[in-house]
Amino acid sequence: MKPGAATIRLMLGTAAVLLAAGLNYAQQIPAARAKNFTSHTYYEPPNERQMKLKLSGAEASPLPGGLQDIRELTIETYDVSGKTEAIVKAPQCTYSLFDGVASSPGHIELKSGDGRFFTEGDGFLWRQADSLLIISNHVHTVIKGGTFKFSAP
Amino acid sequence: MKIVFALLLAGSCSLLWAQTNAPVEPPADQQTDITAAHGRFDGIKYQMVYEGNVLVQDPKVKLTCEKLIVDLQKDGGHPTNILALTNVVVDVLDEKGQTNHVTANRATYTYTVANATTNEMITFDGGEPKPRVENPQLIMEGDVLTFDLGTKQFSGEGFRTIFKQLPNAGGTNGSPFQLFK
Repeated sequence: MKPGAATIRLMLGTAAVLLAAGLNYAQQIPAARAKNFTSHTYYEPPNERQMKLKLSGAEASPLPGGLQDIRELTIETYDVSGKTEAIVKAPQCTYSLFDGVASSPGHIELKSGDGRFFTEGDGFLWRQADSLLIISNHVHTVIKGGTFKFSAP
Repeated sequence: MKIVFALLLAGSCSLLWAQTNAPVEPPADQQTDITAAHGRFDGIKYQMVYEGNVLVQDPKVKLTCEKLIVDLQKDGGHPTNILALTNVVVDVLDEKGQTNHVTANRATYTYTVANATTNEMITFDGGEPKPRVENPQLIMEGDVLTFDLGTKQFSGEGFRTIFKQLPNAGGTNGSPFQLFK
């Protein structure tokens, strides 16, 4: 059963409340239409000044059911020292505001902060709660600098 | 010759563990490619899992299997543990430049550094069909085969070795050990 307009408004309203309280991942994606948006998440105290995640996109459009259509998504994660841990890029994805799940039949790229680990594929699902990224097809990984030495030297 | 010597030493079923290799920064241009039908990255465990027609290639090795689990390090350091499962086939070059063809149900790569000493081992096991390595000189089959990346030697547990007869090996009466003189 599809949620009605009132339900959506209620859900969006709930998300806005959670956003204001800083308790929900929904704070990272604008609930309304937006262009060239960027959102930041910070670590818990005592590292509250340190950015944990930066999420940006070229465009976000609301869809029914608390979903957002995101274009040119980029997610960057940082450790507590500010060093980049990982960068995720996807030309398009659908993001659920309420369960923090992003998915797309399209392309995705994941790169480590130092650039030595790179993986890509087509079709993905990302569950933010447990940091799980599932790539459905054509997975390709490049590890540079010999970090994967399954060989005789 | 080193391989045979190691095999003879290991014939009593003991494993040889290398503890002689100082950590060396690998060449920056060295690159490993992995392809698979599906994959998943666990950002909590920092683990990458590949499934379906997995192919690993680097300048000195080719590996195929059905499932590959790579434990990564958050700091971008060397993966500590890599597990290849089901129909594992590895073609690896030894120090002579010859190919060693290994088949097994399971291959486990471990990387440890202790007291400034690096240990890199690949252990082949997983039951029937038993792990098997073949090169131009010999075929070795065992319950467990281990390849030490530092010493470039195979060793094993409960293995048997078949020495091949080469054309210039002195006919049917020639000793297989002459092959390695």
